[in-house]
Amino acid sequence: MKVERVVYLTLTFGTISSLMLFSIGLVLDLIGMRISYAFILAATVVLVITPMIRVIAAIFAFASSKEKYNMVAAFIVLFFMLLSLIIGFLLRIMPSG
Amino acid sequence: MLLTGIAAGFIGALLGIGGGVVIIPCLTMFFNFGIKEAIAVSIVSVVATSIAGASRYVEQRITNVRLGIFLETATTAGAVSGAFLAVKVPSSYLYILMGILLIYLSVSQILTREKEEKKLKNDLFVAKEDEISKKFGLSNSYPDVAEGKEINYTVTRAKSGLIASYLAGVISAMLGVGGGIIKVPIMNQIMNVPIKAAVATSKFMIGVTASTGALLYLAYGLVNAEAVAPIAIGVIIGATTGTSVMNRMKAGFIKLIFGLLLLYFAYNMIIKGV
Repeated sequence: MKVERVVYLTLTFGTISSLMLFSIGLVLDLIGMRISYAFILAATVVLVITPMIRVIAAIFAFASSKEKYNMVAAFIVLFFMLLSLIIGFLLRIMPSG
Repeated sequence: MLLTGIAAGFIGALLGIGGGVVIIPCLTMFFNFGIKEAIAVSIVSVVATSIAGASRYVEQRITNVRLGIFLETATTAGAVSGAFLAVKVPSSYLYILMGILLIYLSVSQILTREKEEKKLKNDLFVAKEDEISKKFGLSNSYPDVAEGKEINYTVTRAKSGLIASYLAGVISAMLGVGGGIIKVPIMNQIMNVPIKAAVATSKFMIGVTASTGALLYLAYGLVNAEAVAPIAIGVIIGATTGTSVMNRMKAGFIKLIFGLLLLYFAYNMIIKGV
């Protein structure tokens, strides 16, 4: 599959599933059910890991189309994403905006 | 809050930015959020705006996926270095320097409006491709609805673009300005990417740096669940609407509002610095 298609599917899946979970969470919150928190948390997790999954999906797409330079680039992006997570956890550095 | 999200999502989609500039002041001023809490909600919503907007722009073939990933290597590396520097370097000079840079970018965006439209009309975005752009297959084309034709463009000065993106990543991490505001001019003014493709590609890219930040806030339990749901829903609706409007606009008009926004950012930076 072409990288554009793979990226498109990943992003759309992430958007729609988190939108649905957020909506369910919001409705449950409005009618005062405490379980709403779990839905909103799940929605947030799906949302924030989507870009990372999109990078991983791109690595596979570039591998299958034998675009080795782009595959290495996507690997580097993933590496720095993980590195900034590790550094953030170890040093408690929070981004400011 | 839903309306705040919709407004931020819409503006963010038109201009390729995250929309924190709308969300953070709204949350602190109208909803009495502390700044840390507002940033946490905002950074999650930047991811929402990025993936919602990017999925539409990739579908419309305006996003340059290869260019996005190529430049992300530099912005994510920059963000890691910036996080370290932020602890050590006094930032007031940096705010003023950044303010001046943004004024320059603003003026040049506004002044190059006609030139950009002329280039679109006469297919002048095709130039000599450099080695790196060739290797990574960065040059691309997109269907411009306002011009009514396919616009081919060649990506040039890939190395300068990469270095500038690295610096943009460092500055973003240090000063807390979203990357979009700098990524768009880098692509448009250094790398010969038409403004609409630059906006769509920036939209695509900002999710990557925001997502690691959002994960940290989430892990430390700083994300307010009650606020994040309406804002995120609003942002997704706003971004999806914005993406269907952007390509119908004239490139010159997008550059004008982008230039004015840069000026507003410059003002904010300078106020913080002095």
